[in-house]
Amino acid sequence: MPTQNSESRTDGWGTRIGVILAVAGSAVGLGNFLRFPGQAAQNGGGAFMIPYFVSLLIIGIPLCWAEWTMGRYGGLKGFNSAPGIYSVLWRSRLAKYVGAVALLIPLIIYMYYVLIEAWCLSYALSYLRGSAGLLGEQADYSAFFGNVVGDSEDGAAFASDGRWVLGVLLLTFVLNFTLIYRGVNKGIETFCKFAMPMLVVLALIVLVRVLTLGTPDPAKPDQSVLGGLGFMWNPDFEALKNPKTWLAASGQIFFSLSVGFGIIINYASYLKRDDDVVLSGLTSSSMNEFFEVCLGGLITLPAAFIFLGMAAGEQGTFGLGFVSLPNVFDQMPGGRWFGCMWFFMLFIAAITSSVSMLQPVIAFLEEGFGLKRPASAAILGLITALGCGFVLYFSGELMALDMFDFWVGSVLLFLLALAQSIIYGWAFGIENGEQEAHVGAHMRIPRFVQYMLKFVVPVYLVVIFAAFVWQNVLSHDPVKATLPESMVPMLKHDAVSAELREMAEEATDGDVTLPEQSKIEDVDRRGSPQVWRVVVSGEEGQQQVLATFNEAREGVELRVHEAGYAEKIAGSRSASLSVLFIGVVFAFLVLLVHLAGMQWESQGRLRFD
Amino acid sequence: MNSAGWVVMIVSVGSVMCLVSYCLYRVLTLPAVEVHDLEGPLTIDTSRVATKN
Repeated sequence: MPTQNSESRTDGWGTRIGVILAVAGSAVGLGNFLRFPGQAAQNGGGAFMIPYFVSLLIIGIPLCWAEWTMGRYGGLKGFNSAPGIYSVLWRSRLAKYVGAVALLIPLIIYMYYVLIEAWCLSYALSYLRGSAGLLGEQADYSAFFGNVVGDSEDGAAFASDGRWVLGVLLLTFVLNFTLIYRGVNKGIETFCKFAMPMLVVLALIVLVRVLTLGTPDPAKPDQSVLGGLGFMWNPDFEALKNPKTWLAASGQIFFSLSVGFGIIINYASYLKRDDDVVLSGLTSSSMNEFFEVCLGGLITLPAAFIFLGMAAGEQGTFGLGFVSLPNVFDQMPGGRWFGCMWFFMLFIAAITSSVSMLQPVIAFLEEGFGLKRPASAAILGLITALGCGFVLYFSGELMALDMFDFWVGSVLLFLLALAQSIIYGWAFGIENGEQEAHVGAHMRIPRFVQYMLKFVVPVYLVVIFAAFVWQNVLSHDPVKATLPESMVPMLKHDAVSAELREMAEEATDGDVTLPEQSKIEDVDRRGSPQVWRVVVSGEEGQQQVLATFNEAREGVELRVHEAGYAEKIAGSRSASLSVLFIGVVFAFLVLLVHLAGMQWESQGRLRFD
Repeated sequence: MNSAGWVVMIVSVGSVMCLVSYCLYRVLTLPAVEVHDLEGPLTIDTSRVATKN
């Protein structure tokens, strides 16, 4: 049976509001301002809020309460890192290896998140300098973004044009490690107590600017503040019939609240016995919602719509944040200063998150191997610098970043949240959980929440995860158009003719463009219906499928090939190396966790009957 | 922006504002945290010593 060793605690929170701001700061990030509005606009506008709030109540807040409760319990038993905390909750030697996943997630996410953080600071500094790439007639927002991130090819970030971003990255790195070196109280808490109010003030200034823009171009009366708000909030209730809307809403809540990150459990482990976890957990979740719904929902898309119209909703997170919004600021009166303020605000939001990603691993190195803060910070600095360098080098199409984000920042996040809900509901037990949560609590958790945590949350997570894997890991070939059978002769050539290219583009309203160098392959299916593939050679010689033409009853179906993440690994060297890198880091962490576990057992800190 | 959009926006933003205001009010009006670490045990068990004597 695990034993208590709470005497060795050396770090902790100074104030109640301090820990709440730190947890909220960890959750508030770019996703609140860039991902949420995009998801809402693409999934029914205002109607998206119904599945969004349902998910918040069913999985978001209950999982937060469970993590706060488990973290404080583990802390009182003398552990601040996930391997130790899981071991006292689930009395099994296997528990600590689940904890290795809770170390891997923040560690890997930090490796690319700090890079995005540096982009934000680079943009803020560029606005401050009045960079020609972002402001004025010569501004080219896509080229500027490409220059900053180096997505044209691997290693482009090290080219002379992007070298100044490396300096900003170094500055960001140093700032993160300075905060973490100072500890939970003097570093993270002190910074969050100053940064979170500043974040609110900056966001409110930008919000007032956006809501007072009126109708900047009288020739386009629809593109006004009200039009922008309508674009974001007008509900399309038909979207509620589409399961994708529910999946998107659940995913947004899940990623936004940072459940399954391994961070809340670590932060809560520094609480004292009688410190409240129920009201604190609810407060930090509601603060995250304030940033997402009240600020992100009113600023980003309305601003983009006012200047860009319907095109505002077609961008991904990076496109919206780093290409569309600079375009908006360029057209806005005083845009240089508001652009600077906006990106500085994103930088602050990002740094409160990134610093929280370092703490779980620092805590593990300290309590697992008895290292002092300078040694643990130095080791962590070396590991994260290696990982960040990897992401920076494999910058072509942002492949390494995308792989890290998908396999760790999405897939493993789901799995860890599922593991945590099972540990809480089945290993620790909801009776113990309820009793533990209410020690020192300033409000009560309704009884049914415990049953939800035991039965509903794991099932809900499995369903969302299965749908997520089906949608993203596997490749798909959705039908984009049906063409007349008379076009079949066009497919019986190796080369794609100009006539075929035009036909495909017209039939799909420009969605499908077949490049000149693409080729047609006849897929031998030994009989009808016949299938032709349009392929193009990649930079490393692999053939990439762009589209397929399938013979059907009513003509020829033109299907677009959407490669899933499994296919991406097989088709790209940088993608496969990224997954290999994640695997090596995980193996290293498992080894460390194993050694730490042996030490804890030999010291009598952990005992298993 | 249509009337349904207004309703959804006001209800969503209003609910979140009410929740965060309530939570912050509760947190900020709680009494200050007591410093338990400085408290000593109320009684000292001397039974073993007494038995030996």
